Amino acid sequence: MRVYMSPRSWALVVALLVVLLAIAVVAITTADQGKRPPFLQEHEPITHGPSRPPVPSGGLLRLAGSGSNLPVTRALADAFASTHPHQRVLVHESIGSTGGIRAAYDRVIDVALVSRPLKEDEQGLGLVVVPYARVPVVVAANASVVDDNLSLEDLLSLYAGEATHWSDGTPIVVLQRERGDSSHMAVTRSVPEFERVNDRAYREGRWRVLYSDSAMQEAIAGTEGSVGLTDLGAIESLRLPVKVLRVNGVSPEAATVRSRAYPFVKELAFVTARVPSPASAELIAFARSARGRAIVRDGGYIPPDELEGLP
Amino acid sequence: MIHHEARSPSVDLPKYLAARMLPLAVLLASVVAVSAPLAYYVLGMRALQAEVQSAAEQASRTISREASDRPNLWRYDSIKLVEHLRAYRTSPNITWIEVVDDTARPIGTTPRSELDALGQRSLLWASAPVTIHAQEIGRVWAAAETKPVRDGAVRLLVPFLLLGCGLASLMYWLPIGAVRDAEKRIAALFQSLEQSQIALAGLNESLEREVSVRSRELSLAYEELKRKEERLRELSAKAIGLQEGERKRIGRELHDSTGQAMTAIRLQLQIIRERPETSEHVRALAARAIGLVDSTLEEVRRAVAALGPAILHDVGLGPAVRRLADDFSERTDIKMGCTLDGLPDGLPAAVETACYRIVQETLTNVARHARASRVSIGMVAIPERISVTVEDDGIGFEVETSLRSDTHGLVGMRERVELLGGAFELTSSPGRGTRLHVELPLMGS
Repeated sequence: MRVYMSPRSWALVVALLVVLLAIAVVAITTADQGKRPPFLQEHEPITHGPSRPPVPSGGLLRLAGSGSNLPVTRALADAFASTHPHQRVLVHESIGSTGGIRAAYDRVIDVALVSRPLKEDEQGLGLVVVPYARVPVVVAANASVVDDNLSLEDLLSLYAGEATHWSDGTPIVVLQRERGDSSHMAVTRSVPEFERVNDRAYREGRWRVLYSDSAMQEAIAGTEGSVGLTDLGAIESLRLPVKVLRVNGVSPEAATVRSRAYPFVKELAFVTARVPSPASAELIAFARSARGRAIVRDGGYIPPDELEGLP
Repeated sequence: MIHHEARSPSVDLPKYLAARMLPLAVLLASVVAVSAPLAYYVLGMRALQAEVQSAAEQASRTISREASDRPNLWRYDSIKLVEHLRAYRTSPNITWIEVVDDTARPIGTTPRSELDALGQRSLLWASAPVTIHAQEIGRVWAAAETKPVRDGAVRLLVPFLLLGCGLASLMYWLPIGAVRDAEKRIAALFQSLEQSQIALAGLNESLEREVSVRSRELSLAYEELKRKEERLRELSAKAIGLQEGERKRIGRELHDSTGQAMTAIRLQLQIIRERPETSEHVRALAARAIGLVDSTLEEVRRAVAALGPAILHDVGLGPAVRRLADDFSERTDIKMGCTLDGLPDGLPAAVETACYRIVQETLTNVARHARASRVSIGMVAIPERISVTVEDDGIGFEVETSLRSDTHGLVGMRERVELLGGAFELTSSPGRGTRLHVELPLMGS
């Protein structure tokens, strides 16, 4: 019986297969190549200490944080500076509650301004929270909007995109803050369903998202048919040309908050190191003093001791 | 005849082909199985890389804008932005977005454990700088999971391996099947060819036998026919010879006895007429009787001439033909050419008479119909045969028509030649003259 095996053909095939394998290996390794970020190689836990060296204050009392805190804090800072001429006080533009807490932790600032409770991971940073005001979170609309009242269901419909026009036929433009915003959290505390609706709107990219209070306030004032969440203190302090809507027929004001008829409210607080600087301690003491509380009250805010028991 | 050795294959073609095709089939299966998943993986990774890079650049642009507004506190201000970008990233493939400051430390609040977990995962990273006035103050890192691409490529392996095996099987089996089929057909053809060859050989043999038998029969028949023809020719020649001899004898009898008796009667009558005592009445009767005798003598001479040309006996064929030609020329004023070559004495009487009669008949036809100005006669004898040719430059005629209607005595001429076993050839056409050529055999005559 004849043998028809062709060793040369097999050798050629094996050679080609080896080449193919080599190409595959090269292609896979080159395709998989990616520079790994340096922070993945670090092993020191970032929660064990400030990430940056402290920045010397130079005698300046530095405050920064949530935009919701800014109007009343600036009023307090001005009053504090007038009574403490030796002390210079600087209130930065909004960096958000989280940014304020991180900056205070890093000692880049002296006092953080927060408009929400500390998160779980922030509670372990060894910081002290001192509330100094509460403020109604309002549903603010562009001045052109003809409607002046929303039910809670209406609010959910707005964010869910189900209600698309105001009663005069103007298209509704919802403006959202970023996830974790204190005003949204305040609404969620009263209407848990709001979190789901809000989150879905984020995911679907349904509405424009703004990352600061000032941006939100400017957008509401400047966008026809717009509606968004902000706080009453900012509106009154800054005399913003926006329309504050009633919720379930209740106007957001100190009296309705105190009577708990108005559901949305958030707490403004200072956050400092466990042992605050003397200037910080003085400022906090001033804010909680009678004069400070009067300034808070005059700004449309509610001093904390007048609303005990609120979440 | 195709021999069996010619088709006995020294190579088992299907096995040979299988041995050649198997490496190719293996190669094809391997290439198909590996190529598509590999291409999927490489292209998928490239697309992912582009997507990650795009996500990093998009985030870096957003954060750079924020940083431009807050050069001192941007890293704190951007935390919520980063968290938002991370939570609501535009592409589901983007797994993580992290921003680091100028010390390369993350600005967010991501726990170390989560970063460590990220380090354990198979992620594709890309970065883009965060800049203020073109100065890098941080960097955005975006990551995407490579597992889906890898899993997709692995998932493709099985179907493409199956596809490769399928294609390889097709490539392997189709030609082998075709070759086997062809081989079967060729074998069947060879078998059929063999049977045909056997049948053909048998047929050939039988045909050869049949042809041989038929040839032999034909040959015998031909021989028989030839013998009969020869015999017939001999008999014909003999009959003609006898006929000519009989004619001669009758002619001689008429000439010798009847002619001489009539001549004697005439002399007697002439004597009676010229005697003085013969009365006028008797003289007149005698004169009338002399006239009757003269006309009878003339009839006898004509009959003798018709029975056979006596001149042949007197002078022979050659001089007789020459005299015939001379008489013809003198009588018709047509120029004559006469070529007589090698005519021997003692030719068979039938042949001599036939030759003489043919020339005589032909010249008569020329005189009557040809309107010729010149006639030539050729007569040549060689040991086996004698040929006679008579040509004129006359108006010619349609040979076939004349033969059919027998207007010129041509049929009788041809029959006479054929009875003697000769060949008769007449060539003529209107306006082109006429040529008669006759060949008569001398052997056995």
